[in-house]
Amino acid sequence: MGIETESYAQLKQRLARAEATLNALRRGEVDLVIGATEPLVVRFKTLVDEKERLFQELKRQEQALRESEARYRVISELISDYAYSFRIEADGEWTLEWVTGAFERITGYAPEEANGRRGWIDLVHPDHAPLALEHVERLLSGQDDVSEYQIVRKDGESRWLRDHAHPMWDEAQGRVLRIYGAAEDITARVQAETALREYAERLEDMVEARTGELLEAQEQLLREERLALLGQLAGAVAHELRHPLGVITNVAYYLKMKLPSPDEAFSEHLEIMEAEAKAATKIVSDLLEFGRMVQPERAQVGVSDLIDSALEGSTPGENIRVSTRTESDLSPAFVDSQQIAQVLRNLIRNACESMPEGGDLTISADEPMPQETIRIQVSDTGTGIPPENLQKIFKPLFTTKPRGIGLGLAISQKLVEANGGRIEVQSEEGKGSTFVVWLPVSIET
Amino acid sequence: MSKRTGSHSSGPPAEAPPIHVYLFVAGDEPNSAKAKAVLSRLESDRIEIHIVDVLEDYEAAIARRVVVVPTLIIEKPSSSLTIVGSLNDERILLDALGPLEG
Repeated sequence: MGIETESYAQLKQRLARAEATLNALRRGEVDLVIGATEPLVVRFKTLVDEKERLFQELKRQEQALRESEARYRVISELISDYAYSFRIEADGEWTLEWVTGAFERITGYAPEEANGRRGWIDLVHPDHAPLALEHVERLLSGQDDVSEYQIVRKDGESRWLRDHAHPMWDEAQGRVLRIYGAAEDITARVQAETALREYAERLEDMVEARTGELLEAQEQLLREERLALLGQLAGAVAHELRHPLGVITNVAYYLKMKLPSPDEAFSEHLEIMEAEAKAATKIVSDLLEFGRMVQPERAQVGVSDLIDSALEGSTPGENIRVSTRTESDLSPAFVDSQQIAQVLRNLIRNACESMPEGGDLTISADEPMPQETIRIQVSDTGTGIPPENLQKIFKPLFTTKPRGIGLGLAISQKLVEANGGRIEVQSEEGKGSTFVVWLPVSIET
Repeated sequence: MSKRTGSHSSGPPAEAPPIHVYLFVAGDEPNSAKAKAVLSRLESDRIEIHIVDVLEDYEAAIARRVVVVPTLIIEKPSSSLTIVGSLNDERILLDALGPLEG
Protein backbone atom coordinates (compact mmCIF):
# COMPACT_ATOMS: atom_id res chain seq x y z
CA MET A 1 0.00 0.00 0.00
CA GLY A 2 1.61 3.26 -1.11
CA ILE A 3 1.75 6.23 1.16
CA GLU A 4 -0.10 8.39 -1.40
CA THR A 5 -3.08 6.10 -1.32
CA GLU A 6 -3.34 5.93 2.48
CA SER A 7 -6.61 7.18 3.86
CA TYR A 8 -6.97 9.53 6.81
CA ALA A 9 -8.06 6.60 8.98
CA GLN A 10 -4.95 4.65 8.02
CA LEU A 11 -2.68 7.61 8.77
CA LYS A 12 -4.36 8.04 12.10
CA GLN A 13 -3.87 4.37 12.82
CA ARG A 14 -0.16 4.56 11.93
CA LEU A 15 0.29 7.61 14.16
CA ALA A 16 -1.40 5.82 17.06
CA ARG A 17 0.88 2.83 16.48
CA ALA A 18 3.97 5.07 16.42
CA GLU A 19 2.94 6.66 19.71
CA ALA A 20 2.27 3.26 21.25
CA THR A 21 5.71 2.14 20.05
CA LEU A 22 7.42 5.10 21.66
CA ASN A 23 5.57 4.58 24.93
CA ALA A 24 6.51 0.89 24.99
CA LEU A 25 10.13 1.85 24.36
CA ARG A 26 9.97 4.33 27.23
CA ARG A 27 8.53 1.65 29.51
CA GLY A 28 11.26 -0.79 28.47
CA GLU A 29 8.64 -3.29 27.25
CA VAL A 30 10.43 -3.87 23.96
CA ASP A 31 12.80 -6.72 23.13
CA LEU A 32 13.64 -5.98 19.48
CA VAL A 33 13.62 -3.22 16.89
CA ILE A 34 13.19 -4.34 13.30
CA GLY A 35 14.73 -2.33 10.48
CA ALA A 36 12.55 -1.41 7.51
CA THR A 37 14.64 -3.13 4.88
CA GLU A 38 17.10 -5.25 6.83
CA PRO A 39 16.71 -7.72 9.63
CA LEU A 40 18.33 -5.28 12.08
CA VAL A 41 17.67 -6.69 15.49
CA VAL A 42 18.59 -4.85 18.66
CA ARG A 43 18.44 -6.84 21.87
CA PHE A 44 16.65 -4.46 24.20
CA LYS A 45 17.04 -6.81 27.12
CA THR A 46 20.75 -6.07 27.14
CA LEU A 47 20.04 -2.39 26.93
CA VAL A 48 17.48 -2.54 29.71
CA ASP A 49 19.81 -4.56 31.89
CA GLU A 50 22.61 -2.11 31.13
CA LYS A 51 20.27 0.77 31.89
CA GLU A 52 19.34 -0.88 35.18
CA ARG A 53 22.98 -1.52 36.00
CA LEU A 54 23.84 2.09 35.18
CA PHE A 55 20.87 3.25 37.20
CA GLN A 56 22.03 1.24 40.23
CA GLU A 57 25.61 2.44 39.75
CA LEU A 58 24.35 6.01 39.53
CA LYS A 59 22.33 5.56 42.69
CA ARG A 60 25.39 4.10 44.46
CA GLN A 61 27.57 6.99 43.29
CA GLU A 62 24.95 9.53 44.31
CA GLN A 63 24.80 7.94 47.74
CA ALA A 64 28.61 7.98 47.99
CA LEU A 65 28.61 11.62 46.91
CA ARG A 66 25.95 12.52 49.46
CA GLU A 67 27.95 10.78 52.19
CA SER A 68 31.14 12.48 51.05
CA GLU A 69 29.41 15.86 50.99
CA ALA A 70 27.98 15.30 54.44
CA ARG A 71 31.41 14.28 55.70
CA TYR A 72 32.99 17.31 54.02
CA ARG A 73 30.35 19.63 55.50
CA VAL A 74 30.91 18.28 59.00
CA ILE A 75 34.70 18.49 58.66
CA SER A 76 34.65 21.96 57.12
CA GLU A 77 32.44 23.15 59.97
CA LEU A 78 34.73 21.58 62.54
CA ILE A 79 38.14 22.75 61.33
CA SER A 80 39.24 26.21 62.41
CA ASP A 81 40.81 27.17 59.04
CA TYR A 82 38.79 27.95 55.95
CA ALA A 83 39.36 26.73 52.42
CA TYR A 84 38.19 28.56 49.32
CA SER A 85 38.15 28.53 45.54
CA PHE A 86 38.04 31.62 43.33
CA ARG A 87 37.30 31.37 39.61
CA ILE A 88 39.27 34.00 37.66
CA GLU A 89 37.31 35.37 34.72
CA ALA A 90 38.90 36.46 31.43
CA ASP A 91 38.16 40.11 32.30
CA GLY A 92 40.12 39.74 35.57
CA GLU A 93 37.07 39.61 37.84
CA TRP A 94 36.98 36.97 40.58
CA THR A 95 34.05 34.76 41.57
CA LEU A 96 34.03 33.02 44.93
CA GLU A 97 32.93 29.50 43.91
CA TRP A 98 32.92 27.99 47.36
CA VAL A 99 34.26 28.59 50.82
CA THR A 100 34.03 26.54 54.00
CA GLY A 101 32.07 27.52 57.10
CA ALA A 102 35.05 28.81 59.09
CA PHE A 103 35.18 31.81 56.73
CA GLU A 104 32.15 33.38 58.39
CA ARG A 105 33.44 32.52 61.86
CA ILE A 106 36.83 34.14 61.18
CA THR A 107 35.76 37.21 59.16
CA GLY A 108 32.21 37.79 60.40
CA TYR A 109 31.11 38.16 56.73
CA ALA A 110 28.77 35.85 54.81
CA PRO A 111 30.52 34.37 51.72
CA GLU A 112 28.41 36.44 49.30
CA GLU A 113 29.61 39.63 51.03
CA ALA A 114 33.23 38.82 50.14
CA ASN A 115 32.64 37.92 46.50
CA GLY A 116 34.82 39.30 43.73
CA ARG A 117 38.40 40.54 43.79
CA ARG A 118 37.31 43.85 45.34
CA GLY A 119 35.36 42.05 48.06
CA TRP A 120 38.41 40.03 48.99
CA ILE A 121 40.79 43.02 49.04
CA ASP A 122 38.32 45.03 51.14
CA LEU A 123 38.71 42.42 53.88
CA VAL A 124 42.42 43.20 54.21
CA HIS A 125 43.56 45.73 56.81
CA PRO A 126 44.49 49.01 54.98
CA ASP A 127 48.06 48.83 56.36
CA HIS A 128 48.50 45.38 54.81
CA ALA A 129 46.85 46.07 51.43
CA PRO A 130 50.23 46.37 49.58
CA LEU A 131 51.28 43.01 51.08
CA ALA A 132 48.03 41.38 49.96
CA LEU A 133 48.36 42.82 46.45
CA GLU A 134 51.86 41.34 46.12
CA HIS A 135 50.39 38.00 47.21
CA VAL A 136 47.76 38.29 44.46
CA GLU A 137 50.33 39.22 41.81
CA ARG A 138 52.43 36.16 42.60
CA LEU A 139 49.35 33.94 42.39
CA LEU A 140 48.21 35.42 39.08
CA SER A 141 51.68 34.78 37.64
CA GLY A 142 51.12 31.10 38.44
CA GLN A 143 53.24 30.79 41.59
CA ASP A 144 52.11 29.15 44.83
CA ASP A 145 52.25 31.63 47.69
CA VAL A 146 52.01 31.81 51.46
CA SER A 147 51.37 35.22 53.02
CA GLU A 148 50.58 36.52 56.48
CA TYR A 149 48.45 39.65 56.75
CA GLN A 150 45.82 41.30 58.87
CA ILE A 151 42.14 41.53 58.02
CA VAL A 152 39.41 43.64 59.58
CA ARG A 153 36.39 41.64 60.71
CA LYS A 154 32.86 42.87 60.07
CA ASP A 155 32.69 43.92 63.75
CA GLY A 156 35.89 46.03 63.27
CA GLU A 157 38.23 43.67 65.14
CA SER A 158 41.59 42.88 63.49
CA ARG A 159 42.65 39.27 62.91
CA TRP A 160 45.91 37.82 61.51
CA LEU A 161 45.63 35.29 58.66
CA ARG A 162 48.16 32.91 57.14
CA ASP A 163 46.97 32.32 53.57
CA HIS A 164 48.35 29.36 51.56
CA ALA A 165 47.17 29.55 47.97
CA HIS A 166 47.66 27.50 44.81
CA PRO A 167 46.75 28.85 41.35
CA MET A 168 45.58 26.58 38.48
CA TRP A 169 47.40 27.70 35.34
CA ASP A 170 45.84 27.10 31.94
CA GLU A 171 48.41 26.68 29.15
CA ALA A 172 45.89 27.21 26.34
CA GLN A 173 44.67 30.54 27.69
CA GLY A 174 48.03 31.50 29.22
CA ARG A 175 46.48 32.58 32.49
CA VAL A 176 45.27 31.42 35.89
CA LEU A 177 41.72 30.05 35.82
CA ARG A 178 41.28 29.26 39.50
CA ILE A 179 42.88 29.92 42.85
CA TYR A 180 42.49 27.35 45.59
CA GLY A 181 43.54 28.32 49.09
CA ALA A 182 43.33 27.78 52.79
CA ALA A 183 43.51 30.54 55.40
CA GLU A 184 44.47 29.98 58.99
CA ASP A 185 43.66 32.37 61.85
CA ILE A 186 47.06 33.00 63.47
CA THR A 187 46.01 35.94 65.66
CA ALA A 188 46.78 34.14 68.92
CA ARG A 189 50.24 33.15 67.68
CA VAL A 190 51.07 36.69 66.48
CA GLN A 191 49.82 38.20 69.75
CA ALA A 192 51.96 35.76 71.73
CA GLU A 193 55.00 36.62 69.60
CA THR A 194 54.40 40.36 70.07
CA ALA A 195 53.98 39.94 73.83
CA LEU A 196 57.18 37.91 73.94
CA ARG A 197 59.08 40.53 71.94
CA GLU A 198 57.81 43.32 74.20
CA TYR A 199 58.73 41.28 77.24
CA ALA A 200 62.23 40.69 75.84
CA GLU A 201 62.64 44.44 75.28
CA ARG A 202 61.40 45.20 78.78
CA LEU A 203 63.79 42.57 80.10
CA GLU A 204 66.67 44.29 78.32
CA ASP A 205 65.67 47.60 79.95
CA MET A 206 65.47 45.89 83.31
CA VAL A 207 68.89 44.32 82.81
CA GLU A 208 70.28 47.70 81.80
CA ALA A 209 68.77 49.38 84.86
CA ARG A 210 70.04 46.62 87.11
CA THR A 211 73.50 46.88 85.56
CA GLY A 212 73.46 50.61 86.32
CA GLU A 213 72.49 49.87 89.93
CA LEU A 214 75.28 47.32 90.21
CA LEU A 215 77.83 49.75 88.76
CA GLU A 216 76.65 52.40 91.21
CA ALA A 217 76.90 49.87 94.06
CA GLN A 218 80.37 48.91 92.90
CA GLU A 219 81.44 52.56 92.87
CA GLN A 220 79.97 53.00 96.32
CA LEU A 221 81.89 49.95 97.50
CA LEU A 222 85.12 51.31 96.05
CA ARG A 223 84.49 54.65 97.72
CA GLU A 224 83.82 52.91 101.02
CA GLU A 225 86.99 50.86 100.65
CA ARG A 226 88.94 54.04 99.97
CA LEU A 227 87.28 55.62 102.98
CA ALA A 228 88.14 52.69 105.22
CA LEU A 229 91.73 52.86 104.05
CA LEU A 230 91.64 56.62 104.52
CA GLY A 231 90.32 56.15 108.05
CA GLN A 232 93.20 53.84 108.89
CA LEU A 233 95.79 56.17 107.36
CA ALA A 234 94.19 59.34 108.68
CA GLY A 235 95.03 58.77 112.32
CA ALA A 236 98.64 57.88 111.64
CA VAL A 237 99.29 60.58 109.03
CA ALA A 238 97.45 63.33 110.90
CA HIS A 239 99.28 62.48 114.06
CA GLU A 240 102.61 62.66 112.24
CA LEU A 241 101.75 65.95 110.48
CA ARG A 242 100.11 67.82 113.33
CA HIS A 243 103.37 68.25 115.22
CA PRO A 244 105.50 69.62 112.33
CA LEU A 245 102.63 71.92 111.29
CA GLY A 246 102.50 73.28 114.84
CA VAL A 247 106.24 73.86 114.71
CA ILE A 248 105.95 75.73 111.36
CA THR A 249 103.16 77.94 112.75
CA ASN A 250 105.19 78.69 115.87
CA VAL A 251 108.32 79.47 113.85
CA ALA A 252 106.38 81.88 111.65
CA TYR A 253 104.99 83.58 114.74
CA TYR A 254 108.46 83.73 116.32
CA LEU A 255 110.01 85.29 113.20
CA LYS A 256 107.25 87.93 113.03
CA MET A 257 107.89 88.82 116.65
CA LYS A 258 111.70 88.86 116.47
CA LEU A 259 112.02 90.89 113.26
CA PRO A 260 110.63 94.32 114.23
CA SER A 261 110.87 95.90 110.77
CA PRO A 262 111.07 93.26 108.07
CA ASP A 263 110.83 94.34 104.45
CA GLU A 264 107.52 93.99 102.61
CA ALA A 265 108.43 90.88 100.65
CA PHE A 266 109.64 89.12 103.76
CA SER A 267 106.36 89.89 105.61
CA GLU A 268 104.31 88.71 102.64
CA HIS A 269 106.11 85.38 102.56
CA LEU A 270 105.62 84.94 106.31
CA GLU A 271 101.87 85.55 105.82
CA ILE A 272 101.79 82.92 103.06
CA MET A 273 103.62 80.50 105.31
CA GLU A 274 101.13 81.05 108.13
CA ALA A 275 98.09 80.73 105.82
CA GLU A 276 99.36 77.52 104.18
CA ALA A 277 100.19 76.02 107.55
CA LYS A 278 96.67 76.88 108.72
CA ALA A 279 95.09 75.28 105.64
CA ALA A 280 97.21 72.17 106.11
CA THR A 281 96.16 72.03 109.77
CA LYS A 282 92.49 72.16 108.67
CA ILE A 283 92.97 69.19 106.36
CA VAL A 284 94.71 67.27 109.09
CA SER A 285 91.86 68.03 111.51
CA ASP A 286 89.24 66.89 108.99
CA LEU A 287 91.11 63.66 108.44
CA LEU A 288 91.36 63.05 112.14
CA GLU A 289 87.70 63.93 112.65
CA PHE A 290 86.55 61.63 109.87
CA GLY A 291 88.69 58.76 111.10
CA ARG A 292 87.60 59.14 114.70
CA MET A 293 83.97 60.22 114.58
CA VAL A 294 83.45 60.33 118.32
CA GLN A 295 80.06 59.66 119.85
CA PRO A 296 78.20 62.94 120.50
CA GLU A 297 77.74 64.07 124.08
CA ARG A 298 74.29 65.62 123.75
CA ALA A 299 72.81 68.22 126.07
CA GLN A 300 70.32 71.11 125.86
CA VAL A 301 72.07 73.99 124.10
CA GLY A 302 70.79 77.47 123.29
CA VAL A 303 70.59 77.98 119.52
CA SER A 304 71.99 81.53 119.66
CA ASP A 305 74.96 80.26 121.64
CA LEU A 306 75.60 77.65 118.94
CA ILE A 307 75.56 80.29 116.21
CA ASP A 308 77.71 82.73 118.17
CA SER A 309 80.22 80.01 118.92
CA ALA A 310 80.40 79.12 115.22
CA LEU A 311 80.83 82.74 114.14
CA GLU A 312 83.57 83.33 116.72
CA GLY A 313 85.68 80.60 115.20
CA SER A 314 85.16 81.93 111.65
CA THR A 315 86.85 84.74 109.76
CA PRO A 316 84.63 85.90 106.91
CA GLY A 317 86.38 87.97 104.21
CA GLU A 318 86.33 91.72 104.13
CA ASN A 319 83.58 92.23 101.60
CA ILE A 320 81.16 89.79 103.20
CA ARG A 321 78.26 91.22 105.18
CA VAL A 322 77.21 88.86 107.95
CA SER A 323 73.73 89.04 109.47
CA THR A 324 71.95 86.74 111.91
CA ARG A 325 68.20 86.42 112.49
CA THR A 326 67.24 84.28 115.44
CA GLU A 327 63.65 84.03 116.65
CA SER A 328 63.21 84.82 120.30
CA ASP A 329 62.16 82.14 122.79
CA LEU A 330 63.44 79.25 120.65
CA SER A 331 63.54 75.91 122.41
CA PRO A 332 67.05 74.71 123.18
CA ALA A 333 68.46 72.07 120.81
CA PHE A 334 69.41 68.70 122.22
CA VAL A 335 72.85 68.20 120.60
CA ASP A 336 76.61 67.98 121.17
CA SER A 337 77.40 71.74 121.10
CA GLN A 338 81.00 71.31 119.93
CA GLN A 339 80.05 69.04 117.04
CA ILE A 340 77.18 71.24 115.81
CA ALA A 341 79.32 74.40 116.17
CA GLN A 342 81.91 72.64 114.00
CA VAL A 343 79.19 71.89 111.42
CA LEU A 344 78.07 75.52 111.36
CA ARG A 345 81.70 76.69 111.03
CA ASN A 346 82.10 74.35 108.05
CA LEU A 347 78.98 75.79 106.42
CA ILE A 348 80.06 79.38 107.12
CA ARG A 349 83.52 78.72 105.61
CA ASN A 350 81.98 77.13 102.51
CA ALA A 351 79.60 80.09 102.14
CA CYS A 352 82.47 82.57 102.37
CA GLU A 353 84.56 80.60 99.88
CA SER A 354 81.67 80.69 97.38
CA MET A 355 81.73 84.51 97.51
CA PRO A 356 85.35 85.43 96.58
CA GLU A 357 84.15 88.84 95.38
CA GLY A 358 82.08 89.40 98.53
CA GLY A 359 78.34 89.12 99.29
CA ASP A 360 75.79 88.49 102.00
CA LEU A 361 76.06 85.69 104.56
CA THR A 362 72.82 85.19 106.49
CA ILE A 363 72.36 82.82 109.41
CA SER A 364 68.83 82.38 110.67
CA ALA A 365 67.13 80.10 113.15
CA ASP A 366 63.47 79.30 113.76
CA GLU A 367 61.22 76.54 115.10
CA PRO A 368 58.70 75.50 112.40
CA MET A 369 57.35 72.66 114.57
CA PRO A 370 57.34 73.96 118.15
CA GLN A 371 58.93 71.65 120.72
CA GLU A 372 60.09 69.33 117.95
CA THR A 373 62.76 70.69 115.61
CA ILE A 374 64.97 73.73 115.28
CA ARG A 375 65.87 74.93 111.78
CA ILE A 376 69.17 76.77 111.21
CA GLN A 377 69.76 78.13 107.69
CA VAL A 378 73.11 79.30 106.37
CA SER A 379 72.60 81.30 103.14
CA ASP A 380 75.04 82.96 100.79
CA THR A 381 74.79 85.00 97.60
CA GLY A 382 77.69 83.16 95.98
CA THR A 383 78.22 81.11 92.84
CA GLY A 384 75.71 78.38 93.70
CA ILE A 385 75.97 74.67 92.98
CA PRO A 386 75.22 73.13 89.54
CA PRO A 387 72.18 70.77 89.69
CA GLU A 388 74.28 67.74 88.68
CA ASN A 389 76.47 68.24 91.78
CA LEU A 390 73.65 68.75 94.31
CA GLN A 391 73.24 65.00 94.91
CA LYS A 392 76.96 64.46 95.34
CA ILE A 393 78.12 67.23 97.62
CA PHE A 394 77.56 65.25 100.84
CA LYS A 395 79.53 62.27 99.54
CA PRO A 396 83.01 61.82 100.97
CA LEU A 397 85.93 62.77 98.69
CA PHE A 398 83.68 64.85 96.41
CA THR A 399 85.00 68.37 95.98
CA THR A 400 84.96 71.19 93.44
CA LYS A 401 87.54 73.23 95.32
CA PRO A 402 91.06 73.56 93.90
CA ARG A 403 92.40 72.82 97.37
CA GLY A 404 90.46 70.38 99.53
CA ILE A 405 89.89 66.68 99.86
CA GLY A 406 86.08 66.68 99.97
CA LEU A 407 85.46 65.74 103.58
CA GLY A 408 83.92 68.94 105.01
CA LEU A 409 80.26 68.39 104.06
CA ALA A 410 80.53 64.61 104.50
CA ILE A 411 81.71 65.13 108.07
CA SER A 412 79.00 67.79 108.63
CA GLN A 413 76.29 65.39 107.50
CA LYS A 414 77.64 62.57 109.64
CA LEU A 415 77.80 64.83 112.70
CA VAL A 416 74.28 66.23 112.22
CA GLU A 417 72.83 62.74 111.74
CA ALA A 418 74.75 61.44 114.77
CA ASN A 419 72.97 64.20 116.72
CA GLY A 420 69.49 63.12 115.56
CA GLY A 421 69.15 65.82 112.90
CA ARG A 422 69.49 66.14 109.15
CA ILE A 423 71.05 68.51 106.66
CA GLU A 424 69.69 69.71 103.28
CA VAL A 425 70.76 72.10 100.58
CA GLN A 426 68.92 74.37 98.13
CA SER A 427 70.92 76.18 95.49
CA GLU A 428 70.60 78.14 92.29
CA GLU A 429 73.60 78.62 90.08
CA GLY A 430 74.78 82.25 90.07
CA LYS A 431 72.40 83.23 92.89
CA GLY A 432 73.67 81.35 95.92
CA SER A 433 72.99 78.44 98.21
CA THR A 434 71.17 77.77 101.45
CA PHE A 435 72.18 74.91 103.76
CA VAL A 436 69.43 73.89 106.18
CA VAL A 437 70.25 72.07 109.40
CA TRP A 438 67.39 70.47 111.32
CA LEU A 439 68.15 69.77 114.96
CA PRO A 440 66.08 67.90 117.55
CA VAL A 441 64.61 69.71 120.50
CA SER A 442 64.09 66.83 122.88
CA ILE A 443 65.91 63.60 123.54
CA GLU A 444 63.17 61.56 121.93
CA THR A 445 63.54 62.92 118.40
CA MET B 1 3.90 -18.71 11.77
CA SER B 2 2.45 -20.94 14.51
CA LYS B 3 -1.27 -20.93 15.10
CA ARG B 4 -3.19 -21.58 18.29
CA THR B 5 -6.93 -21.60 18.68
CA GLY B 6 -8.88 -20.99 21.91
CA SER B 7 -11.20 -23.56 23.49
CA HIS B 8 -14.28 -24.55 21.51
CA SER B 9 -16.26 -25.95 24.47
CA SER B 10 -19.25 -23.56 24.15
CA GLY B 11 -19.07 -23.09 20.39
CA PRO B 12 -19.31 -19.72 18.57
CA PRO B 13 -22.49 -18.37 17.08
CA ALA B 14 -22.51 -19.02 13.38
CA GLU B 15 -22.81 -15.38 12.36
CA ALA B 16 -19.83 -14.07 14.41
CA PRO B 17 -16.50 -14.44 12.59
CA PRO B 18 -13.42 -15.06 14.85
CA ILE B 19 -10.96 -12.28 15.81
CA HIS B 20 -7.45 -12.93 14.59
CA VAL B 21 -4.72 -11.70 16.87
CA TYR B 22 -1.08 -11.70 15.80
CA LEU B 23 1.57 -11.49 18.51
CA PHE B 24 5.02 -10.68 17.19
CA VAL B 25 7.69 -11.90 19.64
CA ALA B 26 11.47 -12.37 19.82
CA GLY B 27 12.02 -15.92 21.03
CA ASP B 28 11.83 -16.06 24.80
CA GLU B 29 13.15 -12.55 25.48
CA PRO B 30 11.57 -11.25 28.73
CA ASN B 31 8.94 -8.88 27.28
CA SER B 32 7.99 -11.40 24.58
CA ALA B 33 7.59 -14.18 27.17
CA LYS B 34 5.43 -11.90 29.34
CA ALA B 35 3.18 -10.98 26.42
CA LYS B 36 2.75 -14.63 25.40
CA ALA B 37 1.80 -15.54 28.99
CA VAL B 38 -0.81 -12.75 29.19
CA LEU B 39 -2.33 -13.68 25.87
CA SER B 40 -2.48 -17.38 26.69
CA ARG B 41 -4.69 -16.60 29.69
CA LEU B 42 -7.45 -15.33 27.37
CA GLU B 43 -9.86 -18.12 26.66
CA SER B 44 -12.46 -17.44 24.00
CA ASP B 45 -13.83 -19.29 20.96
CA ARG B 46 -13.91 -16.02 19.15
CA ILE B 47 -10.11 -15.46 19.21
CA GLU B 48 -7.59 -17.07 16.95
CA ILE B 49 -4.08 -16.38 18.25
CA HIS B 50 -1.11 -16.35 15.88
CA ILE B 51 2.36 -16.18 17.45
CA VAL B 52 5.03 -14.84 15.07
CA ASP B 53 8.67 -15.20 16.18
CA VAL B 54 10.52 -12.54 14.24
CA LEU B 55 13.86 -14.19 14.97
CA GLU B 56 12.64 -16.90 12.59
CA ASP B 57 10.31 -14.91 10.32
CA TYR B 58 11.11 -11.21 10.34
CA GLU B 59 9.68 -10.71 6.85
CA ALA B 60 6.17 -11.30 8.25
CA ALA B 61 6.87 -8.45 10.67
CA ILE B 62 8.07 -6.16 7.90
CA ALA B 63 4.97 -7.02 5.83
CA ARG B 64 2.81 -6.03 8.80
CA ARG B 65 4.94 -2.88 9.41
CA VAL B 66 5.92 -4.11 12.84
CA VAL B 67 8.98 -2.16 13.97
CA VAL B 68 9.32 -3.27 17.58
CA VAL B 69 8.69 -6.52 19.38
CA PRO B 70 6.47 -7.53 21.15
CA THR B 71 3.59 -6.10 19.14
CA LEU B 72 0.07 -7.41 19.14
CA ILE B 73 -2.17 -6.78 16.11
CA ILE B 74 -5.86 -7.36 16.60
CA GLU B 75 -7.76 -7.76 13.34
CA LYS B 76 -11.47 -7.27 13.55
CA PRO B 77 -13.73 -7.35 10.53
CA SER B 78 -14.21 -3.60 10.69
CA SER B 79 -10.88 -2.42 12.02
CA SER B 80 -7.38 -3.29 13.09
CA LEU B 81 -5.76 -2.39 16.45
CA THR B 82 -2.13 -2.48 17.56
CA ILE B 83 -0.79 -2.83 21.12
CA VAL B 84 2.95 -2.45 21.61
CA GLY B 85 4.79 -3.82 24.65
CA SER B 86 4.59 -6.70 27.09
CA LEU B 87 0.81 -6.44 27.54
CA ASN B 88 1.38 -5.42 31.16
CA ASP B 89 -1.93 -3.64 31.26
CA GLU B 90 -4.50 -6.35 30.69
CA ARG B 91 -7.36 -3.83 30.81
CA ILE B 92 -6.14 -2.15 27.60
CA LEU B 93 -6.00 -5.55 25.94
CA LEU B 94 -9.56 -6.45 26.99
CA ASP B 95 -10.89 -3.07 25.83
CA ALA B 96 -9.24 -3.56 22.46
CA LEU B 97 -10.72 -7.00 22.03
CA GLY B 98 -14.23 -5.86 22.96
CA PRO B 99 -16.98 -8.27 24.22
CA LEU B 100 -15.76 -11.76 23.55
CA GLU B 101 -18.90 -13.60 24.54
CA GLY B 102 -22.11 -13.57 22.48
